[in-house]
Amino acid sequence: MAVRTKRKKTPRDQAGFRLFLLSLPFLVGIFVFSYLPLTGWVYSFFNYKPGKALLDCEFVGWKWFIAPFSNPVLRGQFARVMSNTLGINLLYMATMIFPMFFAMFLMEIPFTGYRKLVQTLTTIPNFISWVLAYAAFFALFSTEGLLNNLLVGANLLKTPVNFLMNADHMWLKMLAYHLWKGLGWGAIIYISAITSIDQEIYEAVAIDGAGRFQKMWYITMPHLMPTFFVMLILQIGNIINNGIDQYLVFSNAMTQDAIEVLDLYVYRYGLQQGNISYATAVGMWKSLVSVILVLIGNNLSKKIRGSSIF
Amino acid sequence: MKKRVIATLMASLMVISTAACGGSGGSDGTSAQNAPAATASGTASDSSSKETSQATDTASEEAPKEYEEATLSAFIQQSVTGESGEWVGWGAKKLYDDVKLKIDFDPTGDEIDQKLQQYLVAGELPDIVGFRSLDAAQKAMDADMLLPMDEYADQIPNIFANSFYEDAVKYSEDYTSNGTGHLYIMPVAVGPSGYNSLNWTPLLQWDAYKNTGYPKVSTLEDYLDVVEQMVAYKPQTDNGEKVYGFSLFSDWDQVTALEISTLSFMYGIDTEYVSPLMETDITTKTTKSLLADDSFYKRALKFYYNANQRGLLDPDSMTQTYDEVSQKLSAGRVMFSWFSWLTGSYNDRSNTDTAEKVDGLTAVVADDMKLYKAPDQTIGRSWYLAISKNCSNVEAATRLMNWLYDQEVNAYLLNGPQGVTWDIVDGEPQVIDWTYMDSNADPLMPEEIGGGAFRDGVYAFNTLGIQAATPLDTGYTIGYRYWPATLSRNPSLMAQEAAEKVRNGKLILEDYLTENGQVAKSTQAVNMIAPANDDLQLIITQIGEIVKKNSWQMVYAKDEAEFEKLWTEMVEQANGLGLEQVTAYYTEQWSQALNTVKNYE
Repeated sequence: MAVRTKRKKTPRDQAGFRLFLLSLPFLVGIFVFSYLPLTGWVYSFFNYKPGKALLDCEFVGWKWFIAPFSNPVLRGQFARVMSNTLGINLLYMATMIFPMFFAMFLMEIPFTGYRKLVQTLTTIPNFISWVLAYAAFFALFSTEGLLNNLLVGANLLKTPVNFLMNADHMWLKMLAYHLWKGLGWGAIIYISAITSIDQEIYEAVAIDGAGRFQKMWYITMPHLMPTFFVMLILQIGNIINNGIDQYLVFSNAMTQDAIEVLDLYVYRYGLQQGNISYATAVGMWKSLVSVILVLIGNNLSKKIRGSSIF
Repeated sequence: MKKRVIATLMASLMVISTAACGGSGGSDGTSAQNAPAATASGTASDSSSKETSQATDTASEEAPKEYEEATLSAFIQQSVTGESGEWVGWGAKKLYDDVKLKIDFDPTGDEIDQKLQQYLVAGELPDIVGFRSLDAAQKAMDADMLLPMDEYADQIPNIFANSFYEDAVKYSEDYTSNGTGHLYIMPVAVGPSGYNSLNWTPLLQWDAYKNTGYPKVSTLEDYLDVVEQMVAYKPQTDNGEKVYGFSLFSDWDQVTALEISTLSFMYGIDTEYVSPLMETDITTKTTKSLLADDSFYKRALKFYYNANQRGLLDPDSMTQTYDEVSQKLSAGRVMFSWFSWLTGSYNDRSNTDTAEKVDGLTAVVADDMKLYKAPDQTIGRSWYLAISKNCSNVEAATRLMNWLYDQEVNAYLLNGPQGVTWDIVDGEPQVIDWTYMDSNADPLMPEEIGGGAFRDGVYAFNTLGIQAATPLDTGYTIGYRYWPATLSRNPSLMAQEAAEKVRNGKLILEDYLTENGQVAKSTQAVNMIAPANDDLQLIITQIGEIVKKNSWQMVYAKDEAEFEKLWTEMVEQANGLGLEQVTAYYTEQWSQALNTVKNYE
């Protein structure tokens, strides 16, 4: 017996166990922060009153789940919110290739100092919270902002205009803000991928007479595609989870219709109102939509590229 | 071996680098702490000396022996200061000297109802709780987390054996006790409404109004013409900043564009207390939906729509906050204001009392207005104090409640000590040193009575049990604000000019309004509305989101057709969401309240 167990404990097993131990804190973290909270779903089936024990509260079944769809006005609202969520996110996904091109062109800059400068400047916005970023855009675009002062000063405008209240092309504007914030950050992973491409390939293709753009097109890009697809699939999983702060700060009575996304809707109607049961139910609708989208994205990826997350 | 050396090296490097981080961080931290400490050294030493003086008091025999020293925690939603920590200053010293108690305040400030909810979810409330609305108090009662104070009636004689609070206690037991007949929540601000303390008053910039020749204002819409002339007279401030006729803010919006709907109070129509979705006419005692086609709300929206069409409305109105509007008012950049206190710092004496150019924001009331006046409140307003059920020291909590509802204590906290801030002069009470009240945030109170600023007396509670305007046996009100000497106190040049030109010689606005029958005195039936249940509340929120959005869009609509289209759309959607249920509920509640109130007037 003893001999057998001794034989089983190869160095490889030990390494495996050590790896398991190393990952254990993260597993615990995932369990505590991602799975344990799911027990809170039970609140959505009750008319929960804070301060009372849950089981003392009235059991209401699916009431709160039906509530967001209980009449045509609400259904219309939900449809609008869904179209905003999907529309804006599809735009984000369509432009996910931008950081890759940005990285490719950036790496073509031979002057290192300038390259680093551009990279730093484009990465910084990622670390600015949306609230602060909004303050900056407010200083630019509000009635007494820089842009108005310039336009009025140059006699292009008679009276100042509050650009933040203009609801035209809201999705594209959101995309622009999103790219401003994320472009440099998104490029980092591609830059590291580019640096790991074997330089001999470039030398070989240079001997074959390839020019600069041909190198980018035939060598760099194919090497970056696997990274891109991993990022894309990850993004699909997050399609509905892109946070509320960006939309919350830019939301006002004029723009609200075009940028109210699902997260913001959950916040406005659920949390802000303090009805915990209702907020939980609306949040669960969100999760459901999210899971469906991930499955669709996953299947598409499996069909088109043959690789998928699961 | 090699590996181990590298590992050790790495480890030591990490230690060094973290130590370096800690070191630099620490030094940064101390220097950062030093800076404000240096600038605030005056206040810091003040407070420390305050503490020491308190400590010595603790040792002295001043405090009555029979009480056991205790500290109670308190969460007062309606608190003005939002400050937290131990209550200090002259009021706190009085409390300690009288009943040997200290209060430790929990933070209040923003999102006050969410904070209450967190306490409720956690299942534990601080010892003393102040509620800012019946809705909030109802949540705590639903959770059964409040102590029935009537079971301790003998320990709180100032509430239960005091004829002054009889109605308030009875109403609370009968109607706001979840049907149990207990006194869970004790109202504050019991008593008559104050003279000349109108909340909603149309204000105009005096200098511009004067220089355009005091144009007549017959009705609400006339302000547009008047303000247009005024802006033409003063298009810019001295600093070259653009002047607007009207400037609104949206951060206080609940279920309507609040700064717009609130104009209704100038015509004696309540759009807040009964329900923000109802227009309750105080003079005719009728109520109807805010979204009815002939509602005042539509008129108010049209008013600001027209203001925008004429280029008089600040384009930022929809996006800016109260603070920003307050700053614009302070800078003299807005011609019109709608709250009697919403003046920024534009009404400082340096403005209103400078003979070369008398300016400030002063009331110019249209001829057909009837300004809403708060009702006499024998049942108090819908702010309450309560003791938590999980309070560990009920004896101390009841002692505090008894103290808080003591008339002598209320008078002391409202006015400061006799001989310091006020005294009897020529047989009537008068403030003898206005610096305490005028600079009520500065720590001017004498150290021997506890120090601190004048406002440290009541600000932590906002309002005490007795309304400041309640007359005492002496014939004078309990609070200094309504003493005859205060009402006729040293009027500014602006007040004198305005009295002469637009108020028929009356220095006090309410005198003028009463003479013309322009005061709409409310009934406390507005405080007798039961909160809507969760289902209805959800509908109200959903309707509110649409009303807020469409209202602001209407104000900035391109033309009349769009204005009407948005209104119709808003009403249709509100109806689709169940507006009729809301209207029916509050109409019913209102007629019940009108019946109930008969027993309390």
